[in-house]
Amino acid sequence: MKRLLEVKDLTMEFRQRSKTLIAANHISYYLEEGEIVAFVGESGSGKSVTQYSGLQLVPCPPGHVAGGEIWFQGENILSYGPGSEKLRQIRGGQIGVIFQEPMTSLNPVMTIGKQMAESICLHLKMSKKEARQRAEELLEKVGIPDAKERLKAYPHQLSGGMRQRVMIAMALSCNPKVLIADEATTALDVTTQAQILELMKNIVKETGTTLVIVTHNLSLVARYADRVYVMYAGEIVEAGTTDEIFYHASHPYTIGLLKAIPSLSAPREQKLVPISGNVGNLADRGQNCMFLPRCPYASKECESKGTPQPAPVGDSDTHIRACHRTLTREVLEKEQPAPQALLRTKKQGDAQENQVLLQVEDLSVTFPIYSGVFRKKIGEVSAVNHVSFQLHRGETFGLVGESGCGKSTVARAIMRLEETASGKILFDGTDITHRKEKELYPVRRNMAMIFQDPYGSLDPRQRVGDAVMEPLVNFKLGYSKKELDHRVDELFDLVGLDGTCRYRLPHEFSGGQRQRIVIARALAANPSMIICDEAISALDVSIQAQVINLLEELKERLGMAYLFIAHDLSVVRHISDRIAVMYLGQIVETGGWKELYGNPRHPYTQALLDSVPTPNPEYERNRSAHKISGEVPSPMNRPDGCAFCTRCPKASEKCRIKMPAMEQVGENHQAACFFL
Amino acid sequence: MEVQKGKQHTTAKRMQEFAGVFFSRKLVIFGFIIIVAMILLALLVPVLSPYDPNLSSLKEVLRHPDISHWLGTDDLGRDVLTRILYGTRVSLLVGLASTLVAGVLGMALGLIAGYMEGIVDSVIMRIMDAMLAVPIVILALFLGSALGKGLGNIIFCIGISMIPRYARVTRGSVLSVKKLDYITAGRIYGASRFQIAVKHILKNCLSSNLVMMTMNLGDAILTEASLSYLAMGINPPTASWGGMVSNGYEWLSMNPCVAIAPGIFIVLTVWAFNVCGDALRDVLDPKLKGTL
Repeated sequence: MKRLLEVKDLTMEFRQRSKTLIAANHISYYLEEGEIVAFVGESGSGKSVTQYSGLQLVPCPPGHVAGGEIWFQGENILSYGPGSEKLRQIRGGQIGVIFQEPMTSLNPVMTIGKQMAESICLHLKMSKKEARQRAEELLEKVGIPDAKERLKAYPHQLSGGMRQRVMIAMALSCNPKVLIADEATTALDVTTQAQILELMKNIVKETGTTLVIVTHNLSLVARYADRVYVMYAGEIVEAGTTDEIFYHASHPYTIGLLKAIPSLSAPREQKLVPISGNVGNLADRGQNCMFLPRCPYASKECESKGTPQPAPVGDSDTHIRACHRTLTREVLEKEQPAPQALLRTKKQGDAQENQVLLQVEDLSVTFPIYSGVFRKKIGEVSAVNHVSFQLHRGETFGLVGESGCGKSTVARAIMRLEETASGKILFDGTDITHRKEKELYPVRRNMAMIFQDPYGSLDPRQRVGDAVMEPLVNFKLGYSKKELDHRVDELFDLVGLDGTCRYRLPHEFSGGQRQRIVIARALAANPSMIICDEAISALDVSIQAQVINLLEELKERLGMAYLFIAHDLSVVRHISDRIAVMYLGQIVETGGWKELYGNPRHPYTQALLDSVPTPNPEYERNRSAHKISGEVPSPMNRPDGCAFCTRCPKASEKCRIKMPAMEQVGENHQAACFFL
Repeated sequence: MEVQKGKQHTTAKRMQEFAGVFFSRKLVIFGFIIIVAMILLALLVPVLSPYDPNLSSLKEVLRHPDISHWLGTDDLGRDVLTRILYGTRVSLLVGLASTLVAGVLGMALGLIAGYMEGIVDSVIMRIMDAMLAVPIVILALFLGSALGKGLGNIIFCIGISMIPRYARVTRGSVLSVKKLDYITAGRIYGASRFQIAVKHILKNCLSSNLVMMTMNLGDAILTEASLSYLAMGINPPTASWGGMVSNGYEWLSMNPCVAIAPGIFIVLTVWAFNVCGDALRDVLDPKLKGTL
């Protein structure tokens, strides 16, 4: 195959007042015609910068190409001026980009049709009418129904998935040779993500375009990519075909990443192996391998040999890696920790688990809709619709579902942050559904919550020690000043932080460390239940594993119960004992993890599980393309009957009229569907 | 003991960081020097100047600048420089006191409006809108004519007329801060409404208000000058910058210094406060500390 684009020794710097940050360090790679190439790395690994530097889309200053060449169709495109005619023809014309945020990458005051026609007119020199015609064809191609009508729509009238489809159509509009999808599906739900990726894959195969997938999600890569580049701290540390990367990984970082992600296909008894520490400082690279401080396989020679250069692995001509050591299978097995250490310890006290801690009965939460000048109430949206479940002492209960399914609202209603429309919430036997704020004190002591965004959940002007101390002081637990100090030290120690950092402000910590502080605060008053609302989804993969392990460890030691809310099914499977799947404000299926993942009965659960990518190319290849279509309807026009009937492959007339009730489908397993 | 030590250490370090960020721009150093010099001169003027600011001397009317009168004399033979420096007292006092009045009341109203929402919010903010609709000078003029002249009244007038700005800014930031997770966290972990409002919300709205206060300080000085210029301000013969400009204006052709010199002082002071206000904003942003 012909090499379409070749990058040689590219170095990209960001110059700041006093320091220079090297975001891409001597990077070389190539793209072949018609292949799907993935760039994988955590945030700050330089994967996006590498892609954008060719198109000169990196803001300059501070961005600055310090060296290298990018050859595209026989010319070095880095030699073009940033605003030159030639470069503008390549941007959008030859190389199309799909950005992460479909919300912000479309102009909100222009109709879809106009935005699409703009670039078509420019690059393909078509008339306005022809351009509109082409835009319509493209929208049809990316699976948007009533394309003609949609051309007149404004971006806010479309859902996130639809907007991303429009972005793909726009990127494709000028028949580009290369399509760069920069985290294009990260902001979308799993089912939508699968749809969009499948769509991109098909289009690319059909038109012979080269697709570059830039992502932090290693599992996603296994399903779609032909070749993978793994990036770390601005360097390509390993590259190879998908099979080579997933089955013969030989760089410690790649190996670490693969062990750090929970997967649907991996045995659940194993602990995750996190990569310790944080990504090093890009402004202070030093002489050695950037991964050295975190590398479990580091040896003496790594400290003296300088930065490793990419070198071929074995006799493969695609597989390269930048490491001083030759990590063959034998070496890996020898240096791996004993298998017992990797096993999760059995939970203590099974008897305890039969004690109900939290009981949610028939819970409904509604939000009023206002309209008009006088904000008259015109109706209600029901965000949570007759939800019932129990949480036992010392148990982890997972609540999964796509965004907007009401899982966070359930959590907020339990914490009494949201008023309940009907139903009951019993915590430790006491009904707290309608308690007044002041009477909640003794109950709230025993509950805690960890939020999704580690940046938003700490007061930026409060020292972290004071934040951790807050529950102890507010709940008047009778600690003296000395005891308080002692307790804070103890809490910091519990979450693996140094007690001396208590006088620092939140912005001085990384995301993972902040989440640890939030956990310390949650633990402060010794609660019997902690609600984790997407507590790990904002973290990088390697950090995610650290926090998951920490949560598990704490539970083992302190014996509280978790209500674990997440959209990532693999993580939920790893951590939860029992799981409930929510769709549009309702629980559609609930059961033990084994039953639910092993034998899903509800069509929605099946579809969800089908859409989740796993880091296992073999498994992915044998898996059929997922069957679910459409998107979650808005809770404002909830379908009559079964909520899932608009997307369900099995839906019949009956489903559209009547709502199915929860039925026992096995021991410890219930589902709400007529076709069980 | 150990803990105490750690705390002190960090406070000292913090002060150092504070100064580092504050003076990271060269202009700020000038601005800061001007403000400090003004305050010192205003305090020390009785010692430094041989002249009485209010004693007229008909022999020395409208003299041009020379060795004995650095900035000349006005129409009653009073030394202009001495009067300017005495005027600094009035101007700085009016500026500081009225912004403080406006800031405190405005922030309180904004906090209440933003935190309570609903009908309380509507009532407070509509009153603020109504006040905003009237230009500051006119409002102060109206209040001044109702209450009469005098230093206290001037401060009160200017203070009241600037309240709406603070109320609006505070309410805006309260509304955005209120939605953040750490406010919810505060509620979950047992903080009372008052605690949340003051400890978490107000603290995080403070920086934008403090910055506005330093900038409005200049405004307040200008408003006082305008009011004095319009003869609604400080009673003569007490020296105030605005009054001096107003008075010297009549003699512009004979001795321009009488009007221009106090004008230059007004400009310098307003500029100095504005520059320091910008620097203060950088300092108060917790993320910028140490990075600049």
